[in-house]
Amino acid sequence: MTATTPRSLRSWLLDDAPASRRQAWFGRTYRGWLHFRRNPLAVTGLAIVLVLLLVAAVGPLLAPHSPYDQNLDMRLMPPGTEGYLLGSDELGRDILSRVLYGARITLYIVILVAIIVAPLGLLIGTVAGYFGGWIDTLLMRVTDIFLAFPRLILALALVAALGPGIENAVIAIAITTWPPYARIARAETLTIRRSDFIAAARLQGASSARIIVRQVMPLCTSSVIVRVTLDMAGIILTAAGLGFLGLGAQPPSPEWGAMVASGRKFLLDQWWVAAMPGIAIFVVSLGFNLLGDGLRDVLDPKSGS
Amino acid sequence: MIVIEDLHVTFRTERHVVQAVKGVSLHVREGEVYGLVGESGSGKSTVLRALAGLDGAWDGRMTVAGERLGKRRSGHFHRRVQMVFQDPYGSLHPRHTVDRTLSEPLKIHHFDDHDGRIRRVLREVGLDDSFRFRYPHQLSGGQRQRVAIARAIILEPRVLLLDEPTSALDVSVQAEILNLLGRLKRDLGLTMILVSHNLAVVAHMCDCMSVMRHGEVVEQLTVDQLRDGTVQEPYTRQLLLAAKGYDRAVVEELLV
Amino acid sequence: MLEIDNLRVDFHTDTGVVHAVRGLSLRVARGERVGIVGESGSGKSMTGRSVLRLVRPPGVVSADRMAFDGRDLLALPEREMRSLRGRRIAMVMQDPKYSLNPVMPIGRQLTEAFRTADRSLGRAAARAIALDALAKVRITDPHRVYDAYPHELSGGMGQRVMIAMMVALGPDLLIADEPTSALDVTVQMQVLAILDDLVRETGMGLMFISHDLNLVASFCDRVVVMYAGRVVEECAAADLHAARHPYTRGLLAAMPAIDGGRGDLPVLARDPAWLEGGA
Repeated sequence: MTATTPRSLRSWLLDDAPASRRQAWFGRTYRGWLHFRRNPLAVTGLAIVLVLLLVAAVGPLLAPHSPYDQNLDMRLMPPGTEGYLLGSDELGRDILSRVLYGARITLYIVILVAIIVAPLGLLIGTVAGYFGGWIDTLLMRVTDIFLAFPRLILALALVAALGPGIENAVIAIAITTWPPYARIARAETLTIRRSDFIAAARLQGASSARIIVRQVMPLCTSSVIVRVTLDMAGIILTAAGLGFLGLGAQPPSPEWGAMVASGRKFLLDQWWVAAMPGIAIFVVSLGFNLLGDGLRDVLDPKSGS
Repeated sequence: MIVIEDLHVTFRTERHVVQAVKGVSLHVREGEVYGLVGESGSGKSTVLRALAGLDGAWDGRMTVAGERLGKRRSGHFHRRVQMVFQDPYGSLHPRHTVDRTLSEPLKIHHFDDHDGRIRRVLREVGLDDSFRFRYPHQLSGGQRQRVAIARAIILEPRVLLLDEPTSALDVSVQAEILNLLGRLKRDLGLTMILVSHNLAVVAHMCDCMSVMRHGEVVEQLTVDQLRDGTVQEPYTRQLLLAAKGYDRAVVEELLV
Repeated sequence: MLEIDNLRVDFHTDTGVVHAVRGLSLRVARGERVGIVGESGSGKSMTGRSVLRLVRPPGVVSADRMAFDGRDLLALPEREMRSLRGRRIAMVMQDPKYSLNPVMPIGRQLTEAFRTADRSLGRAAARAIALDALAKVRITDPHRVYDAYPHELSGGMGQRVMIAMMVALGPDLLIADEPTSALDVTVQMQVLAILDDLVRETGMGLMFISHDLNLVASFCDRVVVMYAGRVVEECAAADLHAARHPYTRGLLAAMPAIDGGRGDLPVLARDPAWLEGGA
């Protein structure tokens, strides 16, 4: 067990008696990975998400054309045409290039929504659940009010006030998406707050803020993360819906949802214009869903390791 | 060291008001282990949790080392009074290593030398350094309870409240934990209140005790009286007989 | 009546095979109370479950012989096993909360169980048996309990209902897995008295699984001590204090006693040799 004997990385990670905080953390993460790896669907999901990340990073280098270059001679070419692997749209733009560029926009939307929604929902939910009483009632009624509005209508109103554009659409989506997260976090908190380790923390003189941040939140984050990944598909589609209504990504921008919307006109004769970005949305949504399912198994705080 | 006078605790739900503790008084001397015995619903744990400031709307007078307790507990109180819970699986944060569990109280109370203190307290409860960075799921029930005890004594308290500390453990592990608690009492001069449904555990650990039923103290006696069987109240006698194992004749007596 | 030879229960997990029971042999005779004692993980509950074939995958049960009244329990088709369960062999678990359906009144649960076990039983007859069974477990107001929902009953009352359900059809063998551990001592004694009566009056065999050495010693006729999936000691309950195996003696010594000394309790030092030895 001494550090002087040479050991493989694997045995260092799986050591039952870690010698430092870092090793304990890496060890737990590695065990989680071993568990995750056993689920082939989840690994597929992870692979898809990684490909999305990669494409978003280097997509512009791979794209054969600029996503904005119009060529009216080559409009509505079918997939497989020389130079237009996935065909071209009504303005003769290369669909492959637009899909590749669009990955970046999709990722941008997804990340932006996630970093707004998860912490906001988590904070409101844990505070409501931990304190209970009138604070809970107040926060949960506010949540109910947000839930009571049809999501798209509320988003429409917000975008109308903020002005069209991807950033504002994202903010609008985020503001309409957080209530379920608050509910999840609250439900988790309610089961946690009566537990003995919370009582022990209170008895040590920990403040409520400290207990919420250091004891309660870490146990709620896993369900919230799982929910975020499972919601990604819906977020992408809502963004597409706003784009379609002219309130999200603005026309020349190769946002997948907007591309589907504009391809709708040619759906019967030139199916590929809508289908290619549609397939991209489908694959990425599926990837996030599979990843979320896999993460749920690994992160579930009730499961032993 | 600890004085409780005329303690009442009520719980309010939407429909009911439950009087969990009705006028309990008791005195615990410094360095003594005091037992609270009773069956489920007797209010014994509620007394302990009220003293710790954990739950219930309470009424009455409680002092610890002369400090009168209010509705909110001071930092000073937390330094002096700590608690060990029944369920070693529920009393440790599942995502915190032993190290983190033990360093939290040190951070809250701005102690120095975290590393040294954690090492010392682990040794004190009979765990070596290899346990320091483990997660609760890597520990057995008895080891978890040792960690819970380490967490309770790391702030160097004067009073330890024990809520059924061994009832979730196997007999052989119970013996180890009882021995540990006995040693801590001798070495650190701790004052303890031990809540248990197990008369034998109380007889082994305590000096004086109260028998509780339906939120009231039925009888207060010394453990020597319990051993001699010189108990006054029929309920205490019932408990005593039942604790000795199954005996048909005794059961007939209990049933009437 | 019940004969088990060389019972093994293995669990195949990702990290290897866990042997929960390793070669246990046991006999339970009619009208006999056999106590199975051990610490958590000793395999005592698995032994009880294997008799009723209630061990779930990935658990695998095997034995040289496991027979009830001469019928091989391991070879019996599931259909016949079902008819055996409840009627001839019954089981009572630790916590009545998990064994009773929370949204169905007690009476209906009882009559349904009886009518499933015996198809020829009419509604009125089942009701009569249920009320009779409730009275037999010393429930003073059977009609009220008959119409009550499980949450309206105390733990002791719930456990009595479970026993009533299990023994109403006069099983030949009752497997009681920690039937009184969730109960207060005084209630515990009453529940034991009911089991005691049943054994005396109907000649039912009882397999009493518990972690409490004292209780088993005072209640049962014969005691089987399990350690790590094996029987390490088997003796008449009255002779338990004179147990020979160091594990049994260690357990007995580790228990505090009301009239015992105040010094440190002797701590059990586990000897790896116990894993291999047998009784």
